[in-house]
Amino acid sequence: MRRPECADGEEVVRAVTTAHWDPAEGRVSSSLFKGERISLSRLEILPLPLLLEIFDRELARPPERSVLGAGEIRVSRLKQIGAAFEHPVALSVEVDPTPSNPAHAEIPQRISKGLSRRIVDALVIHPAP
Amino acid sequence: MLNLTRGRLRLLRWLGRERRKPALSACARTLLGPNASARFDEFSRYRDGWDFGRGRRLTPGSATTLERFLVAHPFEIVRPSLFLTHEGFLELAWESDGARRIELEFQPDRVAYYVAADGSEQEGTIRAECVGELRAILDAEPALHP
Repeated sequence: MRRPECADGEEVVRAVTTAHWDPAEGRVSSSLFKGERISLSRLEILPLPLLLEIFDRELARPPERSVLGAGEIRVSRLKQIGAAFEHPVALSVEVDPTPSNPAHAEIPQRISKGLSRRIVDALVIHPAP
Repeated sequence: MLNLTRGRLRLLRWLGRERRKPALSACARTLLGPNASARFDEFSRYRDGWDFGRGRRLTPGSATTLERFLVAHPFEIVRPSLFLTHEGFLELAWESDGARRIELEFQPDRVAYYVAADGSEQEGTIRAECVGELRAILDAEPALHP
């Protein structure tokens, strides 16, 4: 069954952990959005500080790995980047609440490395406090 | 009977690969530098299920391909970043010649490359045993996209 889609005006965030962010060199990996069923969270449902707490609870395992922040992007911008890519992809964000994260959403489409790079470059990064 | 034995041998080989711990030589670590080397040690400790249960632990074959690349063909890699992909593969990223961005993903049997510079980019894969050919690819100007 198809899930409802987030509105174009919504802001969504992607958790950024040490696996994808090198703070010493200031680089974010393009693999952050590569693949399919990429997890996002909706700022319309939960505010950023609460989402960072959830990310920390769910992602900061084992202890060596930590959540360094969240990358924010508007749904309409995400769609625009997908449509403008040399191999256009009709990106969408589907609502997918989970017991631990009612703001959870997913991008169902497969995203290539090149397209992921464009999305990562458009993110506004919010470092965790 | 023969098929069963072959099946068992395949299983044992697979288990041996899976149990192998990812490792890098001192030479490879020197070429990576202290930051990327420390990140490799950190990623080696990740278990299956990181990233909302979807991330796979570091594949030993990925470290082997990275080692092969670094030792057989050392580029001037200035202050690289090492990342771990959801599939359990190592990714190396750095900038060369000022603005050229290079990203290599090391899989057990191949290397996926991505090169971008001034609005142009090139993306593809090369077999792990041909990793020496990467230099020609990375040194070439990326193709322009419309």
